[in-house]
Amino acid sequence: MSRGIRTGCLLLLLLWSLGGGQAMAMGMGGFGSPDPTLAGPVIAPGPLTAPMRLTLAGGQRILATDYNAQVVVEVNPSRPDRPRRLFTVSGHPLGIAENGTAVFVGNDTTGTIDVFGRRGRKVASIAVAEPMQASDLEFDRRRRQLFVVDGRNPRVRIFSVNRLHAREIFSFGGFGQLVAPKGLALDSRAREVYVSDYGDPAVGVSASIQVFDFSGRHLRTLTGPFSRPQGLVLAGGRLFLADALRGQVLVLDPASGDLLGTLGSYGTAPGQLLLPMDVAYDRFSRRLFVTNNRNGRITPLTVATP
Amino acid sequence: MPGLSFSRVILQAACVALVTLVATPGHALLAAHDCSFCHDLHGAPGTNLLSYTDTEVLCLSCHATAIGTTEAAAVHNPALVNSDQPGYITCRECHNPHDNVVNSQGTTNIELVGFTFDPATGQRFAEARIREELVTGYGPYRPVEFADRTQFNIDNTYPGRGACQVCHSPNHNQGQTCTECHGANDTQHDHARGFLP
Repeated sequence: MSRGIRTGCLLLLLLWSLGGGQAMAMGMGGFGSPDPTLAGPVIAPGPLTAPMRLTLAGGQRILATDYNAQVVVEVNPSRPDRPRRLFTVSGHPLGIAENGTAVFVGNDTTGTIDVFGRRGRKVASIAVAEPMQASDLEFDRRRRQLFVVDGRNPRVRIFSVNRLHAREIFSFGGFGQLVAPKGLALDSRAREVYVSDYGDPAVGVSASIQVFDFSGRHLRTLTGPFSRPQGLVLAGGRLFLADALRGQVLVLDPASGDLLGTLGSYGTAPGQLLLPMDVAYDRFSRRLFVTNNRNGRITPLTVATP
Repeated sequence: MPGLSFSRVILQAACVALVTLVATPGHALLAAHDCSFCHDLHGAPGTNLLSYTDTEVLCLSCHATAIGTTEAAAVHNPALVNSDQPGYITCRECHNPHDNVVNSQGTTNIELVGFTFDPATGQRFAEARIREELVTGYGPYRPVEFADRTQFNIDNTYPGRGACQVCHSPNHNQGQTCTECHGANDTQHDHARGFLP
């Protein structure tokens, strides 16, 4: 065997030992790539880092919390791809609501609800005896009450709001009725509260939507083809629910929980959803706006006949 | 409150039977990770009866920072590369979702760190391992020791086997704990920031 062939064989042996051959021989992976069929979609993050909850505010604008960036952003419904930073939060913001005078933001770090004035200056902080996880908020303008899902305790808390001041008037839920509540929607006219709940499969409790009246009386349990129910909103007699795992907004019958349709699809392309967290319905543009968490965007979805 | 459904009972029984028949004791299922939370017997779109194709989304649907479930976590992506590139460290590349496994020193890891089976390559190991992964490419699978949280240390007490040392050099700030700088300036635990400074 000539020196050239011998050198070539040694070189091939060396390359084999650095690569998959070594992996097979020693049970250790070389510098090969993993199986691409097991990889998830390629994420090209948008302008936000981790958009969480959103609310429709006055003046045709959407306010949204960005959990990781610790900011509240403002989104123009006609340009949802260009969110504008409104103010920062000292901690990780969760739920958000607005009443025309103030913006209420759940603060996961401090366990409170921070109250911000119109110019984004923090003017007050709402606390209860134990730290809250104000996962979702909604303001009932008729009664001037702030409804809060407290994921940590786990219950729904109702605060009476007078200008910038708030006091808890009553709460309901707790273990036995709610397990891991996430999102909240109000039907102010029917005086009903819809609460999405992850449940706990380790103890045999499935994900569900629990419906209560405003006095805290449990009315019904909705189950359906959802597994990670997050934010929800009622519009046009339908219940729109963001399912974080499916990457879709489910359209449900609010009385029975029956699936009437779906909006959006799982993925990273424009219009697709990856870990959708919340929905808000803009009746002027007839569009749903979704916090598209892993894609870092607010994504609008057109609703045919809400 | 809805109770146990028939399909869940069947799935649970199938999983238990499977584990009993084929798994070693280290493969027992973690109580908090009920089978049906990740797997579907019927109509599962992913491999291994996973109820979703993307394991990262499956994990983050409960553990993403904003969700408020236990053990908030963010992907470790220090070089800010795309999710399909080496150096983007997603959940399954460090964790075994089924249970804690025994490491090369004979103790049991915590926080589900290390795995004995990598579905991405099909390789199996006798003890907990993590694959070295840098922006430049995928390296070998290395034994990983994480029996308690001090093993974030880079003081070479666990030479090359600490959870961070599998990929990162222990010659940087020796005697320090990685998480003192990488994520500690937050009230949340370090993983919620993806271990970034």
